Amino acid sequence: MERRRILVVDDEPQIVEVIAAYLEREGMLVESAGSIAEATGALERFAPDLLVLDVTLPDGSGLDVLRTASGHNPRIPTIMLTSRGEEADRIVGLELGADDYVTKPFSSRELVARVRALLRRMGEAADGARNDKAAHKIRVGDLEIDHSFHEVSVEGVPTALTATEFQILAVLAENPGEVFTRSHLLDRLGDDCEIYERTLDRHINNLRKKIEKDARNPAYVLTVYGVGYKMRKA
Amino acid sequence: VQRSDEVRHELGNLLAIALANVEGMIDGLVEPTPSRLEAVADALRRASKLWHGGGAA
Repeated sequence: MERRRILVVDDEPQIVEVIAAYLEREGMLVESAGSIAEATGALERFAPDLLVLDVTLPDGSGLDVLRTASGHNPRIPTIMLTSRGEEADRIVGLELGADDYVTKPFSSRELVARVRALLRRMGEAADGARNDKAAHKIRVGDLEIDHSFHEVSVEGVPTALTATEFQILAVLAENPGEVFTRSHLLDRLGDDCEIYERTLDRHINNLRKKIEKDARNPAYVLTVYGVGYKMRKA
Repeated sequence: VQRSDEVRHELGNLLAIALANVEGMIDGLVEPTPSRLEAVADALRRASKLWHGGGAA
């Protein structure tokens, strides 16, 4: 299997060095950048599969890097590093959509576990698209989900989802009407529940903003109060 | 007392430096050289100073 390419963007060289050592031990190819300027160059040259991105950089916000990265690859998996949980919630809540975050100070072991989990999820998404069962398009009302191209459109208009949002939507849409509890849904995403449960509702909210006419009164991704979520029946 | 965002951010960074180095040493990914250990001590000294309200480290 081709080595996964990880771009680590943080302005503390020692933190970057240690994170890189951990990721390289996992067989990943790592490049680092200490500023937006360096990261912009690295995105072009290195074409990373995943970003580990500090929110606060000397020449601005890490979100600017995410914006630039999204220009190259709209669904690039991204884990943010931040010093505040509230800030991180907001970022995961932004339309730009990071997939996960860790707050500083963090354990490198934990960060590596999250990188692995996110890559695994991406790998499963790609594998899923390759097998026949998933290769077809799923239609629910005006919503169309194309596994092969990892694309979603509403009334024929393509909408850009983050990798995580796409995965959630795909799992729900493959089983219309079936109610998923949060932990059941997380299991299906192939993740460690403990890691992702706190951000799941966020991702659902973002997903609704992108595919629903009225995110407050969703027509597709429905809340089953006290239980979890389901996709309406086609 | 509510710490300012700046202090909180800096504290987070300094502790992250110390933790990354020490974990890396335990896991055999970075060498426990004197300069590396000094970097850990330096980060913790700066964090302590901030903790005591000593201003920017």
